[in-house]
Amino acid sequence: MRILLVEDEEKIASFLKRGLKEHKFAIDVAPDGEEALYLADVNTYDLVILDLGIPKISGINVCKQIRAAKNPVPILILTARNAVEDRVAGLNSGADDYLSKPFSFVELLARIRALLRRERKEKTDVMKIGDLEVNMLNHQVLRNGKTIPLTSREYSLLEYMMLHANQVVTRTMISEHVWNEEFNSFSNIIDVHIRYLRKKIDDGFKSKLIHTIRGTGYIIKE
Amino acid sequence: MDLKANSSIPSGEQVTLSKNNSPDSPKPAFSPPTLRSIRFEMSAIFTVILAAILLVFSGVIYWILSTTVYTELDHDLKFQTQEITDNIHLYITAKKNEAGSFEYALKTTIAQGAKPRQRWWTTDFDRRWQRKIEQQDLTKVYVNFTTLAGQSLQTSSNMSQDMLALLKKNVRLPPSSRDDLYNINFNGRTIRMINSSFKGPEDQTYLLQVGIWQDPTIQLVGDWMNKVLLSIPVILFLTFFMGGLMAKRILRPMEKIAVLAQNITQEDLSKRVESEDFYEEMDPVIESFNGMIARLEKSFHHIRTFSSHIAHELKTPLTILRGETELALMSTRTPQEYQETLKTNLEEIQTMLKIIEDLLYFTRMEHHPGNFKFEAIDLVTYLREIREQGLILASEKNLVINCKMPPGANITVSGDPVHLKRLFFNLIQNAIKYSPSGGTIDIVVSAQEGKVIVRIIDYGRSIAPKDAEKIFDLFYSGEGGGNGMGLSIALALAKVHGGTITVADKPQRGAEFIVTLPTV
Repeated sequence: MRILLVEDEEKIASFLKRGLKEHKFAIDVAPDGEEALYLADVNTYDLVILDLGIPKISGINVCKQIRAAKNPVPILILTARNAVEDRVAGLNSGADDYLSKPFSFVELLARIRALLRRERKEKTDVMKIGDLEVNMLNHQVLRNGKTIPLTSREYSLLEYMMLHANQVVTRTMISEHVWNEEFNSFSNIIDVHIRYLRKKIDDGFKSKLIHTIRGTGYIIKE
Repeated sequence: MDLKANSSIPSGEQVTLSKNNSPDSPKPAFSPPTLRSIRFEMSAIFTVILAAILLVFSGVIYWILSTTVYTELDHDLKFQTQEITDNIHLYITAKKNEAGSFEYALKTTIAQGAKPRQRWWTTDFDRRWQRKIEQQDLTKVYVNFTTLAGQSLQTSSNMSQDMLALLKKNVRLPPSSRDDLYNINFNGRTIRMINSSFKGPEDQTYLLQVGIWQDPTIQLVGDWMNKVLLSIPVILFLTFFMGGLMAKRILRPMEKIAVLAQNITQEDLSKRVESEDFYEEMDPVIESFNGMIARLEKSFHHIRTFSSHIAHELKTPLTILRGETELALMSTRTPQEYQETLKTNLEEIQTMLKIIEDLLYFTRMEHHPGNFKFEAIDLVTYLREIREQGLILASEKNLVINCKMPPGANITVSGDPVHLKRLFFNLIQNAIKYSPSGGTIDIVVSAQEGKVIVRIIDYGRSIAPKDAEKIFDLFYSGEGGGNGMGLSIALALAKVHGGTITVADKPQRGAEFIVTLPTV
């Protein structure tokens, strides 16, 4: 899950980035409106966290321009202005949710999950494929009732694939949504991680869930 | 989720609370008049004044009327007396030589019942006299012709014995030749009397008493007075009623103002009372009322922006504090990570303290300018000291601070050394903040007639024109951060010292603040 964080206050951006990374999100930070619009344009994000009081282009205008570009990404507004008019203006400009500073980090996480959940058909935090269960709240993975320990990267990869279950996910999609760092998507890092994941998920089970689509990417299905 | 609820519900609650608990819940703008109301007072005053006027007026009218009526009565009485006297005289003068003519004249004139003397000749005089007698109507008067000794020679035919006895008591000659007018009481009724002397044929003096009932006259005046007195309460009642109506009409603008005033709430102070429909006497009231609302609106607006700015300024450090702390507590961290968190938290606490301290300083300065203790300051030495202290702050970024003074100048200003230092320090801090590392800050002093100009120049980022207008506004912080109070405080301090601070127009690079202070 890749999130664009638009925040000009360095210290706020810093703890948000650390905290969200800890919860397996990939984070890009834009310190102003221009950068935010650029990043939103070139990358595909699963969510945008937008501070309204940012330099160059105001948060409200960033929001409007993202929507004008027909980008349906969920937008969560963060701001110190708490008046009803400000909240209405934020939501009217195309944002999906509103959180006022000083906010609780736990609440921010809950709202991010709620917004991401809204994108899916089933509105639960537990995703199932066959006998594989992925709990997005506590990051627990079960196969046939048994816990499978995963590294942070492996979990993110599995979660992303589960969110797009029965769909082909390309290497580019994976690199954009799962990895924080810029890296060459032609490298075999993704393949290596897929291999690790397969070993933990599929090895020892009769029905394989992760399949390779040659020349395109991967698919998780029964 | 509950935290969101915490942050959003209080404002919602405030809205409903202020609506439910508002002390001035709608009540009728004007209640029926009570004893304390202007309407009652106006009606009452109106009525009392009119009552007094009516009483005095009717008293005067009564006096004039009764005087006129009695004068008329007296006049009538005198006229009748004169007629009687004339008629008798006429006859006895014409029939001087005829015996018994005096008695006949008395009888015919006064009693009027006597038949004309049966004689075979009748002169023209007799006929004319007879006609004259008939013309006089004595039915309503009582006449007594008497000697001065009180012996009645002739009375009118309606005279009773009792009355005659009463008249006898009043037999007296009128003083000199004037008529003697007086009242007598007969059977509880008043008779107006006149005594008039009569010279008889043998130069003998007799007395003619003529009287008339006063009752009809008294009754006339009394009736009239009754009517007047009876109508007064009706008039007063109507006046009271009309007074109330008039007061209500006059007070109608007040009613409108009251209704409008009720619509003016803390949420919407933009409403004003329109004065066009009202009496011009109401204008000052409306003007002061509107003026008061305008002042309230201004200060409410000021308080509102001020507090929202403060809240906004404090929210950023609070967000960081809360976020860092929550994050640290989310899982077990290394001691280094805890230290990092605590370090960040301490910084934010200091930021908040600085905001509060600046705020208190600013408020004190705005409301207690008496705290300043002015003394003569040698600006050259003073600025050199400030530069030394500034260098300590600048060393972090390896900055050089140059101080250019006019040679041999002795510039003295009047100022409070503590506060004036803050002015320059805020500007130097600002310059340090925007200077690139290893850069230079120039302090240039030049003296002009009556004033000194201190320029503080940095060579960092230049100030955008749109920022230059607002840079001194309280809480306006440009892209460099800060709490937005440093320059506002500096400007306020300059004003307290009778000077100003401006931003130089478009320097090539960096920013230039120009402080102008009056010299001593």
